[in-house]
Amino acid sequence: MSDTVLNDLEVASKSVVLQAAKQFAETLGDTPQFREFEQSYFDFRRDAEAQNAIQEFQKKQASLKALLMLKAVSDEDQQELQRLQDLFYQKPSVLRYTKAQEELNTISQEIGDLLSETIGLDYGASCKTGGCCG
Amino acid sequence: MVLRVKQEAAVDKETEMTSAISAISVTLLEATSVLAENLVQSEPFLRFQKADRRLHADQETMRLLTEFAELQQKIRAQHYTGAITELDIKRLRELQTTISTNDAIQDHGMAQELAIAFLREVNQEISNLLGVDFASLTRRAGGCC
Repeated sequence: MSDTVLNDLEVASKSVVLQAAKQFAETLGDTPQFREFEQSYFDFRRDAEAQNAIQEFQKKQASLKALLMLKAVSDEDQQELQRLQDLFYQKPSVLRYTKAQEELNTISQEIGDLLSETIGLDYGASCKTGGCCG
Repeated sequence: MVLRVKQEAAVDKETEMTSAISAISVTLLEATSVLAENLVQSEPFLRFQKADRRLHADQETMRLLTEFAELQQKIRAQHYTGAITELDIKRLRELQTTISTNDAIQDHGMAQELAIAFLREVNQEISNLLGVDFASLTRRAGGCC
């Protein structure tokens, strides 16, 4: 296909593609899964108990940072860290947010697969920036 | 009769649950499809498809790429056993030189980079509106992270 032929085809301009992207984002933003994700995150952030629980966990984790890197944490400290993590994950607002996140991930992954299949590139991997975890 | 109603209710409930599992609405599917079709018809993607067709139609180039990938894999495996041969290294360098000057491969690489850059812009637009990186939501757990 020469460039002339390329120009003769129906080419979607950048603004048309961005408009489709906007429409897609609005539609996804309106789904029950996305709304629940947003609301549960908002509620989690306002949940003082959950915020205290995460702070306690993070405080303990920070105090053990060097030992964790060396994998030299004592059994006692390891158990305490696990206990604090479990306490955090058992908070109702955290459970709700985690569930909402999983459900949003599930539909997003399906959408990502559909997009990747059509465009011939892995959507998620292509949009990563910097490093393997970017 | 009551039982029948209950059975029907149970079937309805099951249908509800099934649709909750594959929970993409028709509207969302349509919006996804419109986005995908527009992306495919955009200039960067049309160029990428053209470069991809050209590359795959070039049998000699495809053979070179396969040989390069296989040799890379062989050398990687030999790295651990210390059994890398000079002949393999020499051939790998030859292939690297050939690939770096091959038009179809270079054109494909460039077209892919441009398509990815455009895809990132589109993802940025979506993510800005949602307030969360959409691409990261589409990735499955696993790999290095």
